[in-house]
Amino acid sequence: MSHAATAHDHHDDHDHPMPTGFKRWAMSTNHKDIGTLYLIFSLAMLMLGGAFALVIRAELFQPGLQYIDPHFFNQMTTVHALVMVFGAVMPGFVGFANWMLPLMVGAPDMALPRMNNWSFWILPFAFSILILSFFVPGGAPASGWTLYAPLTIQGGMSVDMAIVAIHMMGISSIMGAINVIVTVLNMRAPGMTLMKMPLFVWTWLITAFLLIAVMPVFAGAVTMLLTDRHFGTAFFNPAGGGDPVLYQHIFWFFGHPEVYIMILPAFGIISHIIPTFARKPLFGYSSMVFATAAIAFLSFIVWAHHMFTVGMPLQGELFFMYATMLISVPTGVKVFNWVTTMWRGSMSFETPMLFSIGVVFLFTLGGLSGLMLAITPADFQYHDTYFVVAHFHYVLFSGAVMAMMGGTYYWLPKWTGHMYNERLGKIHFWLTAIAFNVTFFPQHFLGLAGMPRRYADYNPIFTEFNQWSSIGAFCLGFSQLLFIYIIISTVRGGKKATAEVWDNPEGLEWTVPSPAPFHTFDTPPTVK
Amino acid sequence: MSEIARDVKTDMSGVSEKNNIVVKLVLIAALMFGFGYALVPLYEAFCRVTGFGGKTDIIEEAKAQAAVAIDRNVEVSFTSHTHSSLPWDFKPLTKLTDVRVGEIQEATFYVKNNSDQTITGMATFNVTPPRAGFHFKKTECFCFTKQVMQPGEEQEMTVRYMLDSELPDDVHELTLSYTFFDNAKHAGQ
Repeated sequence: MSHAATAHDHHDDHDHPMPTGFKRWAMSTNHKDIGTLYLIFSLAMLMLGGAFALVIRAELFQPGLQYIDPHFFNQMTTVHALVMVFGAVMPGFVGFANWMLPLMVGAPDMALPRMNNWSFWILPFAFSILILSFFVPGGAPASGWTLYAPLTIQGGMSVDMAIVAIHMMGISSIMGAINVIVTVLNMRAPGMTLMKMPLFVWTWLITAFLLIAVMPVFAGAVTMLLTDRHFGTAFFNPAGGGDPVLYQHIFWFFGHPEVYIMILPAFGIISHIIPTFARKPLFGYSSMVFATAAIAFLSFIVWAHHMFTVGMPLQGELFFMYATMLISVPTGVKVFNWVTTMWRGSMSFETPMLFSIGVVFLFTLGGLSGLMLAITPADFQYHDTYFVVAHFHYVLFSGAVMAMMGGTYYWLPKWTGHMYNERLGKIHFWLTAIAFNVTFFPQHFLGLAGMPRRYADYNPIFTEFNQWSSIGAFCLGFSQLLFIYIIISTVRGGKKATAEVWDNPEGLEWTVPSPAPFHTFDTPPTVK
Repeated sequence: MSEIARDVKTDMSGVSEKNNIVVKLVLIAALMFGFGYALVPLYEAFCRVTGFGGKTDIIEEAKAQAAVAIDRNVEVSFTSHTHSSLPWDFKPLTKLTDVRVGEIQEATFYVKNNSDQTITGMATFNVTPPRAGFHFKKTECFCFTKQVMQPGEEQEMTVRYMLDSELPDDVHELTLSYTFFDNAKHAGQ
């Protein structure tokens, strides 16, 4: 990083004026604007999916049926998951990638700006179709986000709408992934070798390869579902000689890499935040890179641990059990590296750091319950209980979503040019972390006691833990209004941020002014 | 000097290099879409070889006759179902048999078409525990072909089978389950 970025506030060498309004946003090819669109979309979907979750928790506050009928309850669990996975988490990380990758590798923009615009603008249409399915006869899909056949072969029109929406989301993420790979491989600043790339760039590069490898497989699975439903094929339809278990294999061949698609960029984000606030370089950079690659590779050979109970041969169960447990080795390497980075560092606890430490601690907890679920004989007991629900919310909310919140606080001054309100940020962190644990920790006990997931009603002995969980969920949901308030007020004003923002942070993004100008790195910086 | 040279080179080859990568990545995505479909025959072959999923095996009558029975008995039971849209009665007449391994056996099922229409049905099957399926060998079965039933028609349908001597030692009982589907509504086989 020899010379500072050649960012310029005036646009002499760009003879077009700055577009405004509809033209600026709908026709944008600027990575920062598209990144902003992605992030806003992701936040909106987080709120929508959260609202669905609150409907679920309201119904489960008491045993018996209070507010909604069981069929609508199942629609809520299904669409909550689809919106959160494909609408909140995945586009959120693509937003971070759009904003930060060019700044981190010293490129003027993403490699394929026109495609970038397209891959974002597909999303609002995809989700409109998914949400509109609430209004067709029979309501939205109610099969769970996994869309297991043969239940989905029987479903109404909404299943077709979900399939079309999933195709569109898939195309969007594959285009986003292609864009990331081409940008990272082709547009790095001179001197930035692969092993000098910031970790967020590395984790996203590997995530992008995962996306290209598995999103088409999912597209294939739902296409088979569609032809089974309407064109007389029998891939999964047992009546025609198909096999429903085959759907589960194909789905989870996509589904397991998918969960790493949702967590690897989060690992990248906190690998930036922790060194900054520990004031030490990241411990074990190359082991971090190799651990990420190892996790990505292993994600392809563990899928059947999601379906231990389908009646697999013992050898199969053993293989998938051991392979799954093997993942804890590279993941452990990462956790120890983060902890060692903090070890004897001059730590300070600004909001991004609080979120990152929260992620390290709570994600590890989720990993631990994952190890319990990996034990095949134990899994027969835990399968499809609230233990599983608790597990994946610990890795997805306190892993992926909290990492994105930390990342937002970390880079918000760079995006807006203003410092956020530190005091409010810390309050937001503590509200989120505490409410999250009140919501999901009791669900471990519910699951171990045998409460099954995806039911609108439950045995009255489970009431107390469910009430804790519901109270926590409402606190968690409404705490996020504070997050939105902090973001909006930071966009509008606040203390001016310096170019570096933090105390000597590492990375090219801190060499450009805050807010980052519309065009950056027109002349590539040199990395030594 | 060398750095400037490299910059110029990147500028000139950048566009075609970029397109190359894009083409390759799109190709990978297309291949993976095909791979999803390739999993279907792969899975079927895997099930056939390993007996996974409770698939059974077929054996020629002569070979079955030639097999030597051994001194080992296994309890075989039969269950039957019809799809909810098929107005047929379907139940096993042979409910539970003590079968000597290596001996040819027969089981019969009662089928009746309760509707006033001719219906073509097709039966699917599987064996529990699945690892025993591969050693459940049929010489003849009503499930090999489509079955046409006239309005009100009754029939007895037969399956001829044997258990081969390689049946895992810890299998002491197994269940063969059949489900009849309306072939017109659920075509595809």
